[in-house]
Amino acid sequence: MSNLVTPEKSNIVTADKFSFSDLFRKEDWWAIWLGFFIMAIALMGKVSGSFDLKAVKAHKWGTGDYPSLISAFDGLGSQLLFLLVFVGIITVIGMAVMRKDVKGYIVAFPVVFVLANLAYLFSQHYVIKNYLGYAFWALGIGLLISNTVGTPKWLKPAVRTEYYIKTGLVLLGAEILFSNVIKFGLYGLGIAWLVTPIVVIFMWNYGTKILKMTSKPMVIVIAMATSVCGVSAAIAAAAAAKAKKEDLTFAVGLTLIFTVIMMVSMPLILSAIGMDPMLGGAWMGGTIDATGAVVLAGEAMGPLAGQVAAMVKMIQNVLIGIIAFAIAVFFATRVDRNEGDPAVGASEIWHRFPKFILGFIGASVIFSLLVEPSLGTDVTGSILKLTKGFRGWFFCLAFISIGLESNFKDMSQYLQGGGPLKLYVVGQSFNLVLTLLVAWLLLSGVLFPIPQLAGF
Amino acid sequence: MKTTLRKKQIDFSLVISWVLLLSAVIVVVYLIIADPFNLSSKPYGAGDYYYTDLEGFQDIFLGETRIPMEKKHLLLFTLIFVGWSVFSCYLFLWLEKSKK
Repeated sequence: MSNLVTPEKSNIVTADKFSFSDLFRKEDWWAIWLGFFIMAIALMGKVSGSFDLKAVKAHKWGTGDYPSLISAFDGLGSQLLFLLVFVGIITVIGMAVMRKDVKGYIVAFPVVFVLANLAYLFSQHYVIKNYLGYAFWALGIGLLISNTVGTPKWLKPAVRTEYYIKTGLVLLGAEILFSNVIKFGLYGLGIAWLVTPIVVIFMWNYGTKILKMTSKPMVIVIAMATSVCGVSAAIAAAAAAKAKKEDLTFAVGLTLIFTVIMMVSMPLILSAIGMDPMLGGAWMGGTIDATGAVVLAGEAMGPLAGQVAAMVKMIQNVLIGIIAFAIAVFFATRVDRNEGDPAVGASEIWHRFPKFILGFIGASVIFSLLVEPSLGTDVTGSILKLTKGFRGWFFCLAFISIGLESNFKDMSQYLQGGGPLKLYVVGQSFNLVLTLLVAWLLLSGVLFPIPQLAGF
Repeated sequence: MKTTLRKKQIDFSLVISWVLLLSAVIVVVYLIIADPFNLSSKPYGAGDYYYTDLEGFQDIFLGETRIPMEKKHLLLFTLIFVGWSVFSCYLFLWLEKSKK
């Protein structure tokens, strides 16, 4: 079975000594260089005011200005071509320096890019957009091809899941701004941070001890998706834990389905029972997986619930970085070790550690401690508006690649016993109960004064 | 030759999980097709995974702090954050060791 990261196939060094050529020969480091290059260009463009490095995608279509499928690309032709060339060139440079199949990549990448375009196109339909995102469509398109006509051999040089996902994660790091953690004060810390590690620990133990799931990376990926913030957290966990592609596929599939259910049902039920909007918003913020779904569900209960839900989810969005780092360390030091093996030394930990996480954390530190304080939140937000487009594209390319490399026969082996499903259902149930309990303890006035939010 | 009839044991938790999943899929498909709550008119939804994916994320998430914190509370915040992180790591590792 193919892994998201496979030691024998990937460029992550686990046994060789570090040499400075690793900085240019290894995929993890190239993900860092590419990510930082894009951030630097976006920053220069915004600060100088002379250009905007945009990563466009299809317009929202099916209504209004863009009623038809074809109209979704109106006015975007040259910008999409620029995007293809820009991303193609920077990634092919990495491929060339890493001594990969450059000619094959140049032929195959435009096709993978077109498939990613299709995924974005379907996801941008005005109804579907608010229910399923590009990850669903990208996986679907890739799986459809690989399980019907089969992924052609000439396409495989550009099927580079790890390369795309790690670059996307480094870009995601820039969006993790520490200043957002304090917006809901100690209350937000309690709801988002007290609960999250407990749910992760519970799900880890339930998955490995009770369900006896053999794929430990799958357990942690599902635990992260459930307890933190859905797809983004699953991607970070999968890369940090060197998960198989099937692990990520299952986690993303489960979280997408149940997110829609919770997004619709929770505000209806909570409004019907007359739950306090602040408590309801906090509960939804801490439990519904996708951030867009959280804000929508929160606002369905009213502006106060929407604001609280957004703040709680924001804290969890920021915490992805810390948890992903901890997962990387844990898997590098403990999970890959056999019983009776000597403790892993520091140099071996360094060798096993997925280096792109350094770029992920580094981007967060730089944007939180340097960019935002010096340029201000507005300008930082404008820069992130540019980089997030590229982050989305790299993730979309990654999901297309996962689909193209997966087959249903391999995936069906993971369904035996229904472990992933049971883990998600039980884990999410536990998350719901614990988050409600903690939110109630903090916000009901029983233990602490009820917070007064500015503007309400 | 004796044939032994083996009673097939039903994993009820698995059955319940599958029923839940299939029900969820049916409900999701219905919600997308019928859009009964007109969620398509909203500017964002479940397809926006991370906070920057939302339209107007700067206004929603990067606005002013909603609960201003004094410096002493900031220190307390940091201590609780770091302390709880360290405690969680130790708890996780202790549970890992105890199951061996």
